[in-house]
Amino acid sequence: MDKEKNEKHLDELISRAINTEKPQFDAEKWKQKYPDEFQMLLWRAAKGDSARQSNILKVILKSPLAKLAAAALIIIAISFFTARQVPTEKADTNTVPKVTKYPVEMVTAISLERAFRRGGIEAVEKQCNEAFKPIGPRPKRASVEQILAEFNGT
Amino acid sequence: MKTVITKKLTNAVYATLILLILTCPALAYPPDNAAVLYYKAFMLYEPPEFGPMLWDYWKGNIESNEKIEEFLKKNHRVIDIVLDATRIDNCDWGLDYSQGTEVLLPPHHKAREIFALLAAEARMQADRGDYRKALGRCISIYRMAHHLNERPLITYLVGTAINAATQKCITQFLSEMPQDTETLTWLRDELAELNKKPYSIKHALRWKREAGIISMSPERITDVVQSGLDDGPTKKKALERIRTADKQFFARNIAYWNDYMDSIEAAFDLPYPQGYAKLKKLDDELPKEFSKNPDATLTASLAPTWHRIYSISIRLRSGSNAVKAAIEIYITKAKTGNLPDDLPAGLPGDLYSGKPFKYEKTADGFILRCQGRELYRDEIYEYEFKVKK
Repeated sequence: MDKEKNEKHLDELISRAINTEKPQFDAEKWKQKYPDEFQMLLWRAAKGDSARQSNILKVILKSPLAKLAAAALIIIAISFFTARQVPTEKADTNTVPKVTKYPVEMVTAISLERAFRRGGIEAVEKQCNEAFKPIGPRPKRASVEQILAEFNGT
Repeated sequence: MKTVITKKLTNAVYATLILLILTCPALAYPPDNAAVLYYKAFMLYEPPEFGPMLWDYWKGNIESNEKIEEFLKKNHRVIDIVLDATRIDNCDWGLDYSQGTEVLLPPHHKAREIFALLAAEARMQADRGDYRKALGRCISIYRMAHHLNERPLITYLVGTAINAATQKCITQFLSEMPQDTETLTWLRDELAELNKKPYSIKHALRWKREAGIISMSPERITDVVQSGLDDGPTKKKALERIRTADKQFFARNIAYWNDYMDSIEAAFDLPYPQGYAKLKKLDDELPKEFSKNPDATLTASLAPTWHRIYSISIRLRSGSNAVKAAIEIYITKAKTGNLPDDLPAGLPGDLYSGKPFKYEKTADGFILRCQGRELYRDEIYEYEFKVKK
């Protein structure tokens, strides 16, 4: 990765961390944007794994308890992977999943059309409520003194 | 002498200035844009914790109680603001249509809450015996629904839900009130006035086409597809095609979208059975088109389920026709003392069949039955009206 690319990437990560409550890392986007780096990572991972693999295998083959634990881990991993592969397109139509993270993206026409497709006008209403929730709670009354105090930071 | 003239002149200048300020449109209330007042009402209105009770009340499922009365009293300012808004012709929600399908919509979910408030207030007027006022509130709600119906499809659907609920309100009041020719004629005229600018899906269809074209640009389309499609193979494939897209891809997709929207708009103008069949076919064929034809990629990403929306629009219009036809029957009852034996000629009919409603007298009123079936729900609709003895 050259220096310029590195800095750009870092800038992106920082700005995301500042602008949002939870920093987000979009692995898919990153993979497409930096295919070479991705390949490098894969290569390194494979290399590192093969070096460690022989040691791990030795431990597993020696201990029966470790063998059992490894088998259980493999079963859990397979069932988790299978569960993730279930297609989500024909999902439950009664519940409305969070379409997008930011409220502003949840009240676009296209996003609300998607909500309507899933659960009718009630789903639209639910999504709007979700989107506008961060605006509240509001104080019941706000005095001029309070407002001035907030502006002046006192 | 000079001082007197100067003083008089100064006074005249002040008076003119005050007059100018007072008559300045910027300071006038109500403003010339209803949306300003709706936004204000949406901000001020806090739905009650006993929300479902309010819905049960306007539907006539429960009697009024102290909680409801107190709540309506406390919110009279909000009700007044909305009523003022409904009297204004112009309503501009200030939407940025240059954003295409990513246009940010107003908090229209609040409109449904406000509807429940107004409907409950109308119910209270009816309980007090003031049916004219109760029906007047219904007309105001219709106007609000008209105002909500901006260009995006969702705003049409929100307005439609409110319109349909208002039809239920009117049906209830007509069923309970004594037949009074004056009130009934007034109601008929008010509805006729509203119909000069009919509640329609037409401009939502036109805008959907325009918005689609705006969204079909390399800068926008990825976000649009991300927001518009559920996660799954279709979305994945669409995004893959977009990643490798060139200028021609977008040009061909826009051309496909235009042809597609021509077919959609034409289908909405057909009689119901043909229109439904056409739209169902277009909806069913789109996924197949998508898998074999890259030019259909963006259309498949943007298209809603048209045959469902079409059925909703026909359901609303048929319900509206049933109310209009019922008012004429009530007027006959008010004038002659009896319900007519047959349906009077020239009344609006059901849009499923394009024929007049089937009219049937019952022990406590009458029923208007559609002659055609709604194909989306596989149901024949009938509208029951009671007559106060």
